[in-house]
Amino acid sequence: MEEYGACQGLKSSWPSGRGLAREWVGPTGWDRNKALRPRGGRSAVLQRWNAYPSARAFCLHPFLAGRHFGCTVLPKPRDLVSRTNPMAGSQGRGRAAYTFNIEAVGFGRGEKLPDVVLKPPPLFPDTDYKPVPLKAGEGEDYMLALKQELRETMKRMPYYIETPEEKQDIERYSKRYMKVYKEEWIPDWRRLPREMMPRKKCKKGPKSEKVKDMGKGASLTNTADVLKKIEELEKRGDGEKSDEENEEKEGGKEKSQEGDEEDDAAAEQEEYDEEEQEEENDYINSYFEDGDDFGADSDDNMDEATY
Amino acid sequence: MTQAEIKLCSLLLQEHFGEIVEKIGVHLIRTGSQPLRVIAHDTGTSLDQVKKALCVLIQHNLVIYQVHKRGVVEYEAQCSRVLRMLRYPRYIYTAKTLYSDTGELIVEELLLNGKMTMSAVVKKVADRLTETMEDGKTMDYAEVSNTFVRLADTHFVQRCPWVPATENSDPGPPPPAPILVISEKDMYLVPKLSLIGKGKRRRSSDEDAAGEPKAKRPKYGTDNKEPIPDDGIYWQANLDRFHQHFRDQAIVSAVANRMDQFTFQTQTSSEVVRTMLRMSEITTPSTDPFTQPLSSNEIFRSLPVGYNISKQVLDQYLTLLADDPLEFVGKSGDSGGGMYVINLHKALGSLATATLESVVQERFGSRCARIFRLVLQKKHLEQKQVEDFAMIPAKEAKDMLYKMLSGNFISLQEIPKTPDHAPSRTFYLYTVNILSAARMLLHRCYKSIANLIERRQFETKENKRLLEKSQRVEAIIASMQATGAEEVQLQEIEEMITAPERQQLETLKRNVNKLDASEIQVDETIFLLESYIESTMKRQ
Repeated sequence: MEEYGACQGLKSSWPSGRGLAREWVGPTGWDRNKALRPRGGRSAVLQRWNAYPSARAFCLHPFLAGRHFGCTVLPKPRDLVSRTNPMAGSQGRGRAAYTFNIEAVGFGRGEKLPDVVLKPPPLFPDTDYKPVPLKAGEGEDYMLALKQELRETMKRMPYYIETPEEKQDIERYSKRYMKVYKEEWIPDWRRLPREMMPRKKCKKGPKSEKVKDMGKGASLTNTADVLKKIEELEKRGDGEKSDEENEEKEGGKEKSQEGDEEDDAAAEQEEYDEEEQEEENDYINSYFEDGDDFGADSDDNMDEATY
Repeated sequence: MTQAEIKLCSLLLQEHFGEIVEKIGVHLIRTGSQPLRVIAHDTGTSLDQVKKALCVLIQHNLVIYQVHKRGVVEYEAQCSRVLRMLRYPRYIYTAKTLYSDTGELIVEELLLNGKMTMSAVVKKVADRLTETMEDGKTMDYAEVSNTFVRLADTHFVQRCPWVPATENSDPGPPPPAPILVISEKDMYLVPKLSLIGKGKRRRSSDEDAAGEPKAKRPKYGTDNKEPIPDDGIYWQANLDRFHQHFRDQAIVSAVANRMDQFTFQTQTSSEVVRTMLRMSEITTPSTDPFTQPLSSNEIFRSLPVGYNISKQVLDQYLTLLADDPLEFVGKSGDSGGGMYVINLHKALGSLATATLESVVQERFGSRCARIFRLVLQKKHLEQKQVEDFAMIPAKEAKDMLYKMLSGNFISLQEIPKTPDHAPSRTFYLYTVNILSAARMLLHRCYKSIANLIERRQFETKENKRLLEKSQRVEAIIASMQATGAEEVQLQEIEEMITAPERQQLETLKRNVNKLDASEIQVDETIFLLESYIESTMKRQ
């Protein structure tokens, strides 16, 4: 049994019966287990203390000599106890104990404390006070109109990159006429890192959707030009394939890949502008393009079809 | 970057640039600076699309790049700049109030396009202005250029960092990315251009409509065969200058609210403060805690022309301002009739504190606000003292204090009496830490704007079908009116939208307007809080 007697067992600053468990130093020094025991254990300790009158006799503290260590604890609602210390309730002889002066924080003894909240706050709590109405004025109205207008304008700028839609089962007729014509934007390549320039790896790249609009603009090139460019592309197509192979071979070495890209980018830099125009050349002249020359051409073609 | 900020950035990017740019942008904000391939790999998008997205983001100054060793270029997103997109309407409106329609359109074009050359801006703005003018009138390029030069002189627009002109005899391979330089003195230097021309009106007649697809969408570069005179010199809107202007506006209105309600002469003290701020606009960098000292004589000379108050009256006002407990204006010396400074840092602090107080009042009630102001004033108070000073019964005071404590407006400061920090022998004092409360409120503002945007998008999506229908009907009516239709026919078309649908549209419009207006006003609070936090952090 440990000895509780003698001041080696108790810290010099005597607790007034409500001290923290950590103030309780064991005979071998700072006894961690005892110190960090649940606080309710203090009552048990007190019981043991009281059970050893001889130990008390050793206690030379003038304050407490001869005094019975009563359990001068405050009554505490059970729920608060259980929150801080699950075992305290049972060990405190049915009564809860605070470890600090509850009056310092402003609650009176025996007062009913609000219930413990055991779930997150509600998603849409009721507010006691309704919010103040919004500012209204000429400036605010103008800014509101501006904001809405800007939102619409942004969607039509070339910077708004639309996600490529999945193919729909039925192509809606109205979709053709609700397409927004966008200006093409080409950044100033001198200001950007060289790796930013799009590489012409394959003609059917995701660029084609963006460039389609632009392609319509430059669509009416001559047939002769088109054929010439197709030949060039075929030749270049072989070159590009070898580029792709090269890149795959080199694998994950970023620097060498960068080096490859840079070489190709340099080689293709002058031809980039031309290539922008080459999209979908095969189909431009012979097939009907969406929205292109809608009024003029289609009437001729459809003369025979009208009934 | 907090989760709330990232969420808000994601919503803004998506609304303005689409999903692909949003994905890339948010990824960069979350992970910091990364090279191109890693971005493509981590987000699972194709390299091509990543490049496009990055081009857009760099163009709008939202992403910067840096060349690291071994030639790797890394891209970094600037979250705070993305959040500025909320404020675009305010910038444009401010430009309108200062430089009228021309200035407004210039700033709008610059904000929408990120960066542009001066000639491109002038051309576009002239075209836009011409469209709004009556038939036969056009807008001259010279007028637009003048406004542009004025904007540059007052630092509202600035040059972007440019590629240094290197000699051609550069040995070795060209660098992977250009290193852009910027020099302080050249930042507002307008190139000598002689832009001659007038705005072109785009005719909306039918015969042009067919020709439009071909002619109207030429490629940007190949259309102008003539060399652009200021090629490579790009301009951007200088957001810091706008922020300085907003800050000045806030200070002037605060002074007006406080002092000018009791004077007979309208707005004198706020005019004085405004003059002082205007004089220090260019001389004092916006992050300084004090403006340069200004002598009373200088202020007198710089007062606006219409103001004819005598020198003594001005001195009286200055003394009154300097003695005010708000401490916006301070006296720093006696030469020249008295040297006065404006305490920018203190002013921002007062504004942030006032914001906090009003939030507490609106959220918890006026008695809570009284306790809050009391604790603010007295710095540290014990529970008992709060009850006594505020003259509020103990129970209610306790309740309110704990409500504010759990809302993180008030914090507890422990002062132990003994080294063992026993709770029974520790003082617990209530205090307000303005910086941390401001941060908490700012975080909350970000969350609220994100909620507002989400709600607005939800409302719009719910009624998408109805909106499309109404748009179609409007288009039909417009085209019929253009071709000259009778009233009866128009009536018929309008009836395509039934009365309950009209009601629904009205409700939708009202809700969307309210949500939009709320976003703009929450952004004002964000501006105040951010300015205060920034100013405090600079001083530490």
